[in-house]
Amino acid sequence: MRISTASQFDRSVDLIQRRQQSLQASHDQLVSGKRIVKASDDPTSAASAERALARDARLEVQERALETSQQFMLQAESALGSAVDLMQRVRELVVQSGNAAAGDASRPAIAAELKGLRQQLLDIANQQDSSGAFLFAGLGGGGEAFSDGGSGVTFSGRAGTMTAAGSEALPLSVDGKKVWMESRSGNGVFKTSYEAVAGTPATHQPHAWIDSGRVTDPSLVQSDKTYTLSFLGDAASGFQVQITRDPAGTPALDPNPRAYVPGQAIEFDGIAVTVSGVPAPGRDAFKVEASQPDLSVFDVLDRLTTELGAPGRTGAQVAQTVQDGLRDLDSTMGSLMTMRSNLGWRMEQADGLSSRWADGRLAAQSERSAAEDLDMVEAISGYQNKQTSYDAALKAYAMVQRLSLFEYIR
Amino acid sequence: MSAFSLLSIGSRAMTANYVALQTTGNNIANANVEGYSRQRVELATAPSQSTGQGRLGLGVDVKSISRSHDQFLAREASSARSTAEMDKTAMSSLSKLEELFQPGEAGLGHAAGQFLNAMTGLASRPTDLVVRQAALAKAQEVSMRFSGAARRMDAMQADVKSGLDEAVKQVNSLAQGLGLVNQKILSFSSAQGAPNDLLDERDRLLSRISEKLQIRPVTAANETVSVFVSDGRPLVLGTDVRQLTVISDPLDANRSALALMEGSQARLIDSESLVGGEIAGLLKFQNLDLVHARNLMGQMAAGLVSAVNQQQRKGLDLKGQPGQDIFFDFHQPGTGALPMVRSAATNKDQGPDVKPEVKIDDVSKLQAAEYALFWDEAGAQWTLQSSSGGSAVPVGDAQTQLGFSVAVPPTLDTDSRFLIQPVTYAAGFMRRVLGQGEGLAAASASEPNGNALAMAELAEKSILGSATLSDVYASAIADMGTRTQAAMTTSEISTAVADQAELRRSSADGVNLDEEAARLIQSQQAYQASAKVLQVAQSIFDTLLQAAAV
Repeated sequence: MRISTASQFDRSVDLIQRRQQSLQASHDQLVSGKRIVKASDDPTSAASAERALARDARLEVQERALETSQQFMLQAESALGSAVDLMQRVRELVVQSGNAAAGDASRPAIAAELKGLRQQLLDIANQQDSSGAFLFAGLGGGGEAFSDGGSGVTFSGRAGTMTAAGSEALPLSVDGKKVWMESRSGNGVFKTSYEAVAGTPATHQPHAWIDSGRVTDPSLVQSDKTYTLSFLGDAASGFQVQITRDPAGTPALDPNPRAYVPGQAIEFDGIAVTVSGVPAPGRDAFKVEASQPDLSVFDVLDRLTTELGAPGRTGAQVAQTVQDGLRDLDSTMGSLMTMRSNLGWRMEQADGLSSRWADGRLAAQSERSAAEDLDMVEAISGYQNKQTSYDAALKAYAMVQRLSLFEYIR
Repeated sequence: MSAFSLLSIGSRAMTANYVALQTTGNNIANANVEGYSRQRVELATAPSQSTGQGRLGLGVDVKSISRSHDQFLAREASSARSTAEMDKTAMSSLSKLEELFQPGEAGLGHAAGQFLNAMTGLASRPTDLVVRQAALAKAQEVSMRFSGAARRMDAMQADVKSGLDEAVKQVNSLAQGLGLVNQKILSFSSAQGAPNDLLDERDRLLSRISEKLQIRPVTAANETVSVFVSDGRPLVLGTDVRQLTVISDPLDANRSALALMEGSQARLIDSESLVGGEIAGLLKFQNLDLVHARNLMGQMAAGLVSAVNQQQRKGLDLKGQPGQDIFFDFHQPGTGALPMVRSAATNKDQGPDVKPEVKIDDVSKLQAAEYALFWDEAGAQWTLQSSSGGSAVPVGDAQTQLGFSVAVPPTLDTDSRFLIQPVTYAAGFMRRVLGQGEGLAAASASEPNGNALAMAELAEKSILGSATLSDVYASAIADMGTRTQAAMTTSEISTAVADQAELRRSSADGVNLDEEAARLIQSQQAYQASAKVLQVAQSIFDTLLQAAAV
């Protein structure tokens, strides 16, 4: 088959150009380090790489949200730790004040320190993080968590917990109301308190006090009832204690008064309370009612400060204050410690998530790299091959173009 | 015995060989001229004379100077080149289009993902103005990438139009040239035949025209050529030349179409009937690939805008007010809304009120397609045919199957045709309309970050069909990439075929310099020999004269 001279040259030039293009493409790949510069280089790999990138970006953002939560939890946990320490100090002071040897003189100093501790606790409750958000404001929009009005500390946030994005719902705030202001009153089941009989003059000072009581038989406890312990009799013939239940209900409580022995347990309806001291019949009475989740740390401290700071109180009154105070402190401290440990295991959970997500990111990045990155060794060898073949095409052209019959016809 | 006959033999031989030399020289001179067919001298023995000694040859005559031309190979090469040009044009346009669907950090999908991911950060710090502003900045970035891509597609459309204009101009001037050549060919008598160089010129013009547009040439007995466009209409009929022109597509005025001027009227040439040439490549790219790319992008834009705006409206902003749209809602009827209905230019004008109305019902069901709306005689109902194929959908089913509904006025002329484009141009309408960070509706009624939590879920929710936005984008990349890859392969193959066909043609018709060099020597020797014959004849004559002298 004959070949026209023009087409011969055209073909050689064409071949050279194609080899050159191929060399250039290979060079571009080497320079960029990527096998896939545009989707048409390898559509399925490009799509995989894109999906891997999207996963990586998503995990990165989730990691940041996680970190925000972790930082928050660290701060909140540490704040609660400090709060518990302060409460321990309060407890010591209360115990100290209950010491009979302390006397009236030392109590004002104790009351003053209690006031200081109360302010410190309020500061902790209103602690902010680095961006100005209040740790304990719950779902509050940005205002402070607690405000100290004339009538005690109130919660200014919004009950509830703000969570970060993601299915794990890691916390970004603590429900301050629940932690600081909703501890269970009394011993958790019922609350005992001194309540003078109606009509008793304000100047009357009791000489009897009641302890926190305990549950003897949970099945018999009737948590919807309020009990009143009133007293009859006198010092000479002996005191009796009468228990009334309101509402009466069935089976009826034994209405007969029982003998009152100071320090002896009085049992009824599955609970046992102990009254000590000398009651004043017709004046002194004690109330037993269901425990409510309405005990506030600050109210407890305020009450302690007021009562311990008041001069001229009877031993019984002081004992009652100390009794009630310790009981309430234990309950409120319990709430703080519970939240603290809750944050603790949440932080563990977050650590686990963090390491899983870090692995996930690594996997996504590896997948992306595998899809679109160039195998350098293969590429360099390929490039050298193309260089050689380009060189060969050039040489071939140089050799062939000299071959012509005209060279030999002289 | 005659000395004259020897003289005439010699001189005729010299002439003949001189003509052969000239022809060879002409071939050598024109070796590199495009489309030149080598010429051959056809020598024939002169009729012999009867003499007493037997029949005596009277030398050689030049019968003709013929042009080596294989019509079949030439047509095949021309047609293959036409296909190759079409594929090459389509491929290079697609390569540019593919750049809009970039994988990686510079791509649309990443920007959209970054914006949706910013909602996670907003959920962590819902009242932080810096975080809000950063989220809005990402919203701006994604709308700019979409609208930027839409503008580039508009630029590509403009390139198609100007490419078509240029190609049509060239075809028209080539057609004019062909008409003139036909005229010149006619002026030569049929006995002598047309000159070879005119025939070469004619074939060259045909080949160049077919590079731009596949044509069917028909050669008449008088060697003139008529050229027909693929749907059978004539472009050149002998000396009568028509013009091609570029008009707006009757259905979508943004697109171009080819038309043939018949008199003063431009009659549309159906783009689907064009099967080769640069013009066909441009039209194929415009009508298939560019439309598809617009639809892909528009679908994503619509999905993103709808999902984000809807969620935004469910929440409360920093001032406690219900959230306003973050992105412009182009599907909401009103000023500046996306136009979704185009009337064919051939429709009867029934006034501005009598036209179909389109309402978007469920963005997640929208397809990446546009639809032709026409009256189906067989089913006696208005029907929608999707640009991405599939069976026709009656208008009544559009809401459940396609995500939008079409209200057709009962008086609408059944000959009318419309183009329904729910998403085609949507990407260009994407813009951020929420300017202030406080406007982000992060809060729900109960939690300061409640709505932000829901917005953070959007990245993993099915926004379009059953796919998340990043999945949709990854598929779009693969789609365009596969198209481009296929176009590259097709182009490689058709270029190789065209090169092969050209090689075969030029091997039959082209000049081989070595061959011409050999013939040069051959003719030169023959010429020298003939000259020698003349010399011998002359010396014989001299001898005769001397012998006869007294």
